[in-house]
Amino acid sequence: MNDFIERLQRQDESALQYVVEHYLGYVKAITLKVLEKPSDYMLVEECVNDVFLLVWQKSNYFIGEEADFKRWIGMIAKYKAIDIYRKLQKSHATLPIENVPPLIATNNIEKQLEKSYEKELLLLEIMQLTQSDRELFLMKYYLDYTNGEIAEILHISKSAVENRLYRGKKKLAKNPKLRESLT
Amino acid sequence: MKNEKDFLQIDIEEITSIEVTKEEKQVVISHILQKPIKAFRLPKWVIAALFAIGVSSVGILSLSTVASKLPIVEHFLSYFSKDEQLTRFADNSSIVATTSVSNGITMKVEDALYDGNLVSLSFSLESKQPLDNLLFMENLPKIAGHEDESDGGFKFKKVNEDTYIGFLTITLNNTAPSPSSIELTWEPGSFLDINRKTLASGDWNFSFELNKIQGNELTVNQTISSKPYQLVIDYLSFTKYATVIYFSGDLDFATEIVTLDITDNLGNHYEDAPTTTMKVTDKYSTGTVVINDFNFSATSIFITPTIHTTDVKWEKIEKKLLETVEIDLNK
Repeated sequence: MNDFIERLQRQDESALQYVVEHYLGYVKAITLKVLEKPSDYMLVEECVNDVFLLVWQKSNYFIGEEADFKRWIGMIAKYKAIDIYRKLQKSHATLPIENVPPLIATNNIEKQLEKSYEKELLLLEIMQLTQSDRELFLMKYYLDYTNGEIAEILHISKSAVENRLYRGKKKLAKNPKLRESLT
Repeated sequence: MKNEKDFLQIDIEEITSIEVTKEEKQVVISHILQKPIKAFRLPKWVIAALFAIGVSSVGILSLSTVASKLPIVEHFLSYFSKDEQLTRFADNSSIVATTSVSNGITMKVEDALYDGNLVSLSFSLESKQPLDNLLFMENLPKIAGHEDESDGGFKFKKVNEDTYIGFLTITLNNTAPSPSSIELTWEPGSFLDINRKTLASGDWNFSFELNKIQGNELTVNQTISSKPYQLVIDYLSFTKYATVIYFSGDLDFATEIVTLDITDNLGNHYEDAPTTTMKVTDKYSTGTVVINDFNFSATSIFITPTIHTTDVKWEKIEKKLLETVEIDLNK
């Protein structure tokens, strides 16, 4: 199927089948590099489903050819898996039962969902940046790393991180929904 | 152990695809399009009715095994009084919808599930004969190749004038990773009350194949030795239906029973997880512990076996606690 990207963007179900057929093994392989414990099995499934759901619902965020599409879906899988891994690590720090907060009010759930939706959009917007800026922005705004941590991971100076973030933010801030996320 | 900063160094260009099954692809597509693969799910009234079943209506063991299994009965009681298992069954089972009629009683196997260790079925009976006091059935389903190696229990409930529903689970005792599919036959024979009086009998007959639902297995092979006992934790199986710990050991089946106490590194204590053992030879048994509500955030579990030793009449029981072992789930 030569025109699968165009068909995917038109919500043609045969294109979705093609994408799952050709990229599920790749997305799962990436996810398993991060969520590698046998007991992570359900999280792997959740992550893989989330990746393809995002690709299906937001394929219009993708710009490029088939080779770029593989990189695009691969990056989404990698960062979603790391995000799930981080949430899992945080959940290990359990609260004593008497400190557990009361049930979440409905409006808080809505806010959580809204926040999670914005995070998905942010991921897709960042994916449109140049390759050199992409990982840096994903670490900063998708995974919430500090500038110091990013500098250490990318082996660059903290001021280089700040400089590149400043330039990239200008591009991302054109989207009013994301402006708040970038502050 | 890797940390998340190692994961950031993953070069996606270097990663090659892994094999995935047609079923996995179909599950992803169905998830996205919000079209369940199953056209039929366990009817809500069946689930609601099953949830309402009290401990008093719990069936126990097939007649052929009841004598050798009485000490385990109490575990089945706690096991079947849980809602969790039925919810997971409803979410993960496949349609069977096979009917068999005998002596004016229509019996139908509705849904079934096989997860590598457990086989569960939901079924219904339409009968004019009263079956209200049903407590035993003559035969549980048999699995090809495991005819003498499965055990289980069931529960049963009247839902209207002449309709009854049931839910049964049988446990396979494996020491090696389980087959990907099984062939199951079931000839229930007779249904009996607490006094073993036959309430209904017939030649209902079911035969079908079940594929294992997706899951993962972790090989452990960890030995717990304390003379004269030696147990081996063989492996763990994780599926959406249950988490199962498989073990084997040198036990005198007539006088020794083992139970495993399970906790995890997050402080969860799986007190309701039943241990079942199955005789392989007089001096060697295999067994399982089934956890329905395992916390998947745990990174390790702690297993403490207790050996219950008695004389053949079960008049005096002595308990011996073996050492606790830790199983690392990150392996």
